[in-house]
Amino acid sequence: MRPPSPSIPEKKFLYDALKQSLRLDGRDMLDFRTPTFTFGPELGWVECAMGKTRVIAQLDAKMVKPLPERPFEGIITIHSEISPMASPDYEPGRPSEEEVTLTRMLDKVLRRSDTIDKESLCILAGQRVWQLRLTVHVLTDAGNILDCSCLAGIVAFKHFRKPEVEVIGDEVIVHSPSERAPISLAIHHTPFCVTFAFFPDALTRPVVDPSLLEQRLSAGLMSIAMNAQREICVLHKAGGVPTAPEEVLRLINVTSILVKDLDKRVEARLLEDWEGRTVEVR
Amino acid sequence: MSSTAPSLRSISISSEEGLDGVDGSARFSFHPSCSALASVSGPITARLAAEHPARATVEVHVRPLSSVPGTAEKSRGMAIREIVERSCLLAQHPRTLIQVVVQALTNPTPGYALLAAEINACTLALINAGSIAMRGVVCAVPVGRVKKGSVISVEVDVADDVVLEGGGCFAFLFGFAADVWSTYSARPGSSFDQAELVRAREVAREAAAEVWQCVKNSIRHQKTIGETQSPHEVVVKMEI
Repeated sequence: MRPPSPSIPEKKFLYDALKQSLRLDGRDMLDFRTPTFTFGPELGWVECAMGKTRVIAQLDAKMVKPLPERPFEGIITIHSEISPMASPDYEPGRPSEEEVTLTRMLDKVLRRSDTIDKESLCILAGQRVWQLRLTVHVLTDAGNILDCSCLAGIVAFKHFRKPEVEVIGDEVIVHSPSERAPISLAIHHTPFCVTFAFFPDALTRPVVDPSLLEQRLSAGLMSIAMNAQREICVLHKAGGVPTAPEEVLRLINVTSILVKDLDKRVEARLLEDWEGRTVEVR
Repeated sequence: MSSTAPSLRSISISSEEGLDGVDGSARFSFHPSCSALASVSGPITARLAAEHPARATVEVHVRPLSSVPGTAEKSRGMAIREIVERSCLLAQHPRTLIQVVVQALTNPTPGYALLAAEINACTLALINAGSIAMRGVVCAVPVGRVKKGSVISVEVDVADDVVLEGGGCFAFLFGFAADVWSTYSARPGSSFDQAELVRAREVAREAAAEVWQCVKNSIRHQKTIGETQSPHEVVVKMEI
């Protein structure tokens, strides 16, 4: 039976390399793995790959009765259970610490940060609203599934089109996509998540987008979700290495540069995919 | 119906997955409406409660595209587990675990097309892993018919699905050309007889042979590590 990774030689090698600002996969300390997106035939299906880490996000919508205390708002639910496909270490039915962090962060970044305008999801006040259901499947965990999942989630929201609905008095008519072109969701802002890993040695600088080994051997992680307008949506640092405020501010500045680049890339890719689809508007 | 003669032009197989955390993986789709991704890890350490002294334990997890797994996924998981247990030589790996995870990449249809795609994906993932000996290659096809007595054909199109009144899924083990698993049912309001079941099996057998041919072709065209040219151009040198 193979002893659990990481072994002592792997640990020593990684720490020594990081002391010299060298990463095992050849990246720079502040280099993000370039994400690639594959869109499915349906709208709202996207596979996001960052290096070997791969995540699929799928969004669908159905009409439901709204919550009685919020009759004007739609409902957004996010499912993000990690299956043993990502790694045999994940057992179904028993959420590991990483899975709990993933669920919480997805909830904060995509739902509570007010990314989607919930009032635009209302069809008939108090009776019919859209319920958006985002399901995130982690296919491979090669480090940093959090950033990859948040990215896949927000791209799925931007890719999705909801069917056009006409309300005449009390009657609701849903038009099929072949009759009327479906419309995109009202998105206020686009948050992207960037994770930093800190290491026990005080002289080793933090790295961006840790790989699996770096994540396992890190002393602490900090995730910053920011949009292209330099607004911080979520800053998550659960325990770990004591860090000076100047260092945190420096990392926030690094994040804002990375996020601008990510935003451009995502927009370009979405445009490319949209042009490839034949959407006839009569 | 898509066609009376079972033609499966629209199959797409991809074993270039290379999912990093598992031993083998593959994607199979009956284009474009039915696609599944399967991964296999094994033989790996089993939990003490789950290990069997004389053979490997098989664990199958089926996950739908949207929402959490429900009873339909559990039932497909049981079907796939039975198939894997019968087609793999489990006695060669006692006290270990073979973990199969199937991820549906499209939404489920009322027919059996997704189940057939998942079974085929599992077979391909087991071949891709290469660590578990198998008796043969299991290929499954969905079949359906419009009304009682009408012709049975291979049902892969979502558009056909709404008019179907009966159908099933047949899985065959190639190597023995045996019928390893089958299910056939008629939707509420309709019924079927034994003759129809026999006819359905024959149609499915022919279609499954085509699927098997596709599987063989996909493996033939796979590149092994270090290979950059096609196989017949590589010169093998042996040093004695």
